Amino acid sequence: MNKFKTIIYIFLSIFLLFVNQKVESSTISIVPSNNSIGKSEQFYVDILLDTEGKTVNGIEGSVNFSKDSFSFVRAEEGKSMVNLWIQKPVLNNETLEFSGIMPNGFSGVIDPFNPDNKLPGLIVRLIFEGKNEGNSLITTSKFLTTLNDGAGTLENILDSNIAITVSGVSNNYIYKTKNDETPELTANIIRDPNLYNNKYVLVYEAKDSLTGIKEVLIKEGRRPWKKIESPYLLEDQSRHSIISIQATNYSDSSIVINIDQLPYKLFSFWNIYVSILIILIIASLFFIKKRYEKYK
Amino acid sequence: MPVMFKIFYNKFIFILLFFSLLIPQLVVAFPITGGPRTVTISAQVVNNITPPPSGGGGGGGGSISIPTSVNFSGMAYPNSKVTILKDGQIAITTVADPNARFSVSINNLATDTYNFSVYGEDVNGVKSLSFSFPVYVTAGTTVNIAGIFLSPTINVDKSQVKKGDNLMVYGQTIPNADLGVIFHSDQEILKNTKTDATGLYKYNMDTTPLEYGNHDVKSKIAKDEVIAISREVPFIVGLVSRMQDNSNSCGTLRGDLNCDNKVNLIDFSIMAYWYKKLNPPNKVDLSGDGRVTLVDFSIMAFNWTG
Repeated sequence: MNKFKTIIYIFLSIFLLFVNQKVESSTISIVPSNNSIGKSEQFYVDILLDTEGKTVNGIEGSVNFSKDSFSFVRAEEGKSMVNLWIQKPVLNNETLEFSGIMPNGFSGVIDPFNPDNKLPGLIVRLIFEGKNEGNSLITTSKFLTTLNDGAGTLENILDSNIAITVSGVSNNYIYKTKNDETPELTANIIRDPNLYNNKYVLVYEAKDSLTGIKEVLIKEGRRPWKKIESPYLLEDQSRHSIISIQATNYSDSSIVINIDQLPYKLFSFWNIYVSILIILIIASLFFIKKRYEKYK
Repeated sequence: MPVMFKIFYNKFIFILLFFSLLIPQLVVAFPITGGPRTVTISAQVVNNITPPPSGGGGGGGGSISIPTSVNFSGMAYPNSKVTILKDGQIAITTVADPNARFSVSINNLATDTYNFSVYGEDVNGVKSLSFSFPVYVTAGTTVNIAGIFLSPTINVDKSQVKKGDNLMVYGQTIPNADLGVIFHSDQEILKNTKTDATGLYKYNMDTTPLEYGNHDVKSKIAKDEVIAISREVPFIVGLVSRMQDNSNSCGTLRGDLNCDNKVNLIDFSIMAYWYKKLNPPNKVDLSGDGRVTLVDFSIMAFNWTG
């Protein structure tokens, strides 16, 4: 019997030695504003990242829901720890996919009054509306983070889910984040051989610290306003139009910035070419006229 | 004897079990990247009521000024530029004093969570590793982030060195300090040197004991029980020597796609254009796996300068 116990101990020890050495991976949690909602009632779910002590700098993943139970309203990324979105949350049937980076890494939010206890960081707040009565799950899938180690080491995150009950009672509550702030917008026009074959391209960063950016529009000269995403290939490659860019947040507060056109160059190749051509035509006409008068 | 053995054996098993349970905790506590483990973060509430300006008619109440600021202080390199980023964008820069100490504040912040990061730049323009501090800042508080110890900068004079020739490793950190230069080969080799009054150091490594092939070198400094480790710089031991070409900043700063010695929104936009597209340029595909994925963005984010 003792021998048997000893063998069990040894196997258990070896098992724990090998199995428990796995480093804790980050976790994703879904925190809803309400687990039980009414029909037509809007609610949000916060997607939170706990890095479990590690420093990560990239995240991608999907959030899935049933279209029969909920309709997707919008994604608010204003308070997200993701500073730059590679892909903002985009709805594809019943799945929201997104990816982004946190420059120089994120290891948990530090509360300066309690710095030893790092808090999970918000990745995105998703707003939904209840549709049909019943219980339904909102789940995460295919979540990955990259370690801030200079090599982009990938780390899988286990799926998570939350059950939401839609009751038969109608409630036309509209979720709105109070926002008095104006968005921030920085934009540059660049040319690079690795971007649209060295053509003029607009790159911008639009931020709103509360709700997030609803849309960004551009107006090139007399062309109409147009919804765009960064990087954007300019239609007017001559750069002789004033460019206006407008960023609007979910509270419909906007900021507009203008980028001046390039000044016309007096001695540009084209100008010199056209000038010479005009001079030649005038000289030719003058010469023809002279000859004509002489023969006349 | 068998009884003694049995007692000893049972104790051994118990200790083994105990340590097997303890090991994962040790692994988790060990940081993946060298971070400023001695950084102290504290906050104080400041309620400063500004009296109304004297004069003018009518009396009336005063305005309440609630200053909200974050103070950063620590050690960089003598007279070097230190940059503080706020959410990936340059918020403020300062210059360290001749003793490498720096101190800088960001004021007038609104209540929010900010991801601050700090990096330094040596006399040759080589950047340190960045340290990030995602901090929740509330109105009316002053947050102090003190004890930041930036990693040494490091560079090598040759990208490939002929076996037996010398390889010069150089960089900058705090002045007049002992510094370790660590060569990652089949066997780790540690060499010691000292920094001068300007924080500069160099070490000439005889490459005779190194095997042919790829190697890495990094430097390590300790002060007041705080350790700062540089990034790793690769080099090759081969049949001929090739000098390191530092004229092209794209070679040293991974993610600097437009070669402006910065890794910022412009580089991010270029990479975003190629995201999940076929046949991206080699320069954009940082991981070299033939496509632009989250891994490439992660490498860029690690080297981010704002």
